[in-house]
Amino acid sequence: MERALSDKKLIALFLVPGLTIFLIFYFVPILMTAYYSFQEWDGINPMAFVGLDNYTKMFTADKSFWKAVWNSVAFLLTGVFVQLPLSFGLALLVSRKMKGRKWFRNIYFFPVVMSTTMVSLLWVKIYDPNIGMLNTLLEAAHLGSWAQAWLGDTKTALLSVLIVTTWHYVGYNMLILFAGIQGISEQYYEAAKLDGAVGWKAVRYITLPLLSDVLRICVVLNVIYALKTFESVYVMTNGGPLHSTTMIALKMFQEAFLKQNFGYGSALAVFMVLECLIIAWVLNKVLTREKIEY
Amino acid sequence: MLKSTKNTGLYLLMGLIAVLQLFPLYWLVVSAFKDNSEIIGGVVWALPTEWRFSNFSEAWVSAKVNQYFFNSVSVTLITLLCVLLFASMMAYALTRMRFKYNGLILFILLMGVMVPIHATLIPLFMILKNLGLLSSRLSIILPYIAVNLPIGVYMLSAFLRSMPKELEEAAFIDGCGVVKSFFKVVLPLLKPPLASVAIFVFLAVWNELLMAATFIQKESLRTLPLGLMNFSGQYSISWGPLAAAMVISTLPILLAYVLFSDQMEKSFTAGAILK
Repeated sequence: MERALSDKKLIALFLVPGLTIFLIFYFVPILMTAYYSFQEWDGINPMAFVGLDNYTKMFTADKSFWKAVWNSVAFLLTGVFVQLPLSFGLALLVSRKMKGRKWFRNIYFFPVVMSTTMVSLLWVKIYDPNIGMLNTLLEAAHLGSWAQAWLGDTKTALLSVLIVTTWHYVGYNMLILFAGIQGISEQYYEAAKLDGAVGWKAVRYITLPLLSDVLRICVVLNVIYALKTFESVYVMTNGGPLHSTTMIALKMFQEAFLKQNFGYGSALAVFMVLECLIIAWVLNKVLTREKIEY
Repeated sequence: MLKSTKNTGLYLLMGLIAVLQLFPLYWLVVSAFKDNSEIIGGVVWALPTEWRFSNFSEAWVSAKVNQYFFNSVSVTLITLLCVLLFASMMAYALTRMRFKYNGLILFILLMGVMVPIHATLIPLFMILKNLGLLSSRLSIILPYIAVNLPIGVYMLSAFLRSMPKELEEAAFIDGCGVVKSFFKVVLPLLKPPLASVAIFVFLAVWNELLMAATFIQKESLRTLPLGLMNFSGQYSISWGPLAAAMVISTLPILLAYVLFSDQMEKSFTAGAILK
């Protein structure tokens, strides 16, 4: 058996199909993106090496780049400070031992499995000034003066998109946190009860500290999802109006495949990857504290 | 007494949130049976006065949702089969076989988990163009396999590492070769993690838009998300058939969720913790 498991031909047979596809269609392209980012290239004529020009352009000349960075920050902050607390609240609710809690959990989670394209198209219609249900509902509630083109106005577009992503993904963190809460032993709560810690006190002194690892995972996930946002803005606003909802990933897509600026598009992609990796690494460092043991 | 009021309050709160989560979907479903005048003039939450199944047939045939549906099904199925097979073979090699570059391969695969697909898009477009694949289904199937392999390999190897080797050893003693024992003994034991991976890949591929929008050049090859996006651009005036098309494309997911909700939840939690 040992000999059979060290047979080079067999090892190759097991590894080659998957590894080849992964290398050609994922790994090598990552390296090529880094290489392209130092070139000026329209995809047809020969490339021209331009050093750091694409990056200089990105940081100094391209105003909508900073708009995209700022929007990413808005997505990130909403993910961590609005969506995550909401998810935590939902997780606490569905963790209570009450009848029908599984139903509620399933309902809250269902939007997560729907595609972002579908959810975004649906909300485009909900926000639509003519046929959308939001304005109709507002009018029914005698708030007709609030009715407007939600996605068409620079003042409301970003907020409207953020509401959609929160609606769509709030169940995701809920589920992860719920799984974490299930892993906390009853004993802690019983011991705390003797010390008079029930209700919010139990949440504050038992649930939260014991969930710190899970919360860290959620924070990192939310941040990375926020920084990578593409589909929702592509479908709902295409970055507009006036770049008010543009994101790095969307800019990369537009620069490369609409304007044929493959070099500049690659530089944007490299920025996005580095941003994700560095922020995830820093967050993991900062948020990892000593393990709490009771 | 106090407890029951508290419980009623909690139920009300949870019910309210459930309505917030479900109402947009309810609106989608009833709109799928309405015509524009009823959507604009009628009451938002009212059931349609007449159940217009014609919206569905219009979406299915005239808006070519049938074609997009078939494309999504075939792309998803082929990707799924390839990922499951290749990922389990790789996981088996990485956990059971003896060779030097084990760690290196795991590290390279880790890049696939960490680096977002956006970073591969531009070169991939060029590679696919040079291989002449841009007018074929393979233009998205191959990248989809590549994107989903790493997470599959990681989930399956974690399972294999914790699985005792006795059964495989017994199969060897019975004269099975490596290949035969992999297919006859290992694969059947891998069923639980394979189910998790399958759900993960199914949702990822069925819902994917970015790569589809970039690599699918032929209208006849469009998958559902891409097809629906273009449909919504063309028919921005009649919402009923578009709503019907969206209902149709969400049905398989709803069905899968109803059948495998526990499994789905497990697979999402596992996928999150891996990242």
